[in-house]
Amino acid sequence: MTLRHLITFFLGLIAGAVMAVALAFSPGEIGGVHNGAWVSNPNIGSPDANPLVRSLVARRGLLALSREEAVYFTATRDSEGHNLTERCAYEVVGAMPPTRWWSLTIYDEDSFLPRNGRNRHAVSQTTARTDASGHVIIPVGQDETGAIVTNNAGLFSLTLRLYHPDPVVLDDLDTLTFPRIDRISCEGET
Amino acid sequence: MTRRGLPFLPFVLGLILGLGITLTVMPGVIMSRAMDRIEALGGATGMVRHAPPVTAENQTIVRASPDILYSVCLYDLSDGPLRIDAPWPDDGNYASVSFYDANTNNFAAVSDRDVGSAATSIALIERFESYVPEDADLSFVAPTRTGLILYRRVIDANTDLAAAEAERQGFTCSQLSDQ
Repeated sequence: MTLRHLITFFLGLIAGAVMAVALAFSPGEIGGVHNGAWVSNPNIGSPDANPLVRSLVARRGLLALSREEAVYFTATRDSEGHNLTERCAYEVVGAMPPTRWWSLTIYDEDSFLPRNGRNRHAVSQTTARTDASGHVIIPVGQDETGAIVTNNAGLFSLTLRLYHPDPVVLDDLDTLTFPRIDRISCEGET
Repeated sequence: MTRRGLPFLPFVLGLILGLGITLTVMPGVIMSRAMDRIEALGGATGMVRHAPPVTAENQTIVRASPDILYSVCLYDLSDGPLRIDAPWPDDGNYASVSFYDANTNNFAAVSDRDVGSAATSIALIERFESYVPEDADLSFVAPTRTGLILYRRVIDANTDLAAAEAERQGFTCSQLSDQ
């Protein structure tokens, strides 16, 4: 054991700590179940969650409900894989998974509700417009165009909460049918 | 070259250790900062803070939902067990009480669907505590001495907000030893 070994050990220690913080604060979801544009982590709130998942949840979804109470799905991309951005207008369309109640909420890059002076951050089962077949149609965009308003949201995410989801939701997280997130138009496009 | 390559091993050891320790400690640090923020907000009635509906201007916790009324009780079992009383919505909306330890683990939860009554009383006791609650409907054992208890209640477009506000005043945390 030389001084050089000690120094490199401590450098490693610091690098490890930095890596941990970077992982926990990274914008991407790690692990989890993917379904179309939606990602869920079934370990949220569970003591079984590994240290990385727990750190991620503590940073991004502190005080989340356990999966029996609610399942959370977050989308950072549209159904074609492009990042969700306030520069584009979207429509969330399709069938919602079977659940007692759901809500869809917009968060900005820092996981907070975007500050835009408009109180239209969420749409729920109670307020959503549906077509004859019961499919939801939720416009997401700037100002008047959005049931969910994207002003000042930057690269945003949409979180879908299913309260008391039907058991089939918990069993088949990856095969359920979810609404699509269609990009309608973007700034600068005609 | 072989001698110069040696420091690689201590670096990797340090890296793994640093990563592991930081990831293990981080939830506790984040939780304690969140608890400090909630405490600093004050305005608590008894031990419970009934947060106003979440808006872009008043949010303190990441990814809070504007469709939920949140009430929070920071617990500390140093002075003995707590009694938590929770009212359930009479308009049929979802409500629940979730228990989180100092490491962010959600160690217990009860919702309106789990019980048939209009309200539920819960005793919260520390591990190895010999106390046996007598009149509480449920009792939970807390893995850590401090943590927080979160009451959630769905408010939708049809909810009478004033009635929901009045109803949630029934969510209380009190020392069992006081009674």
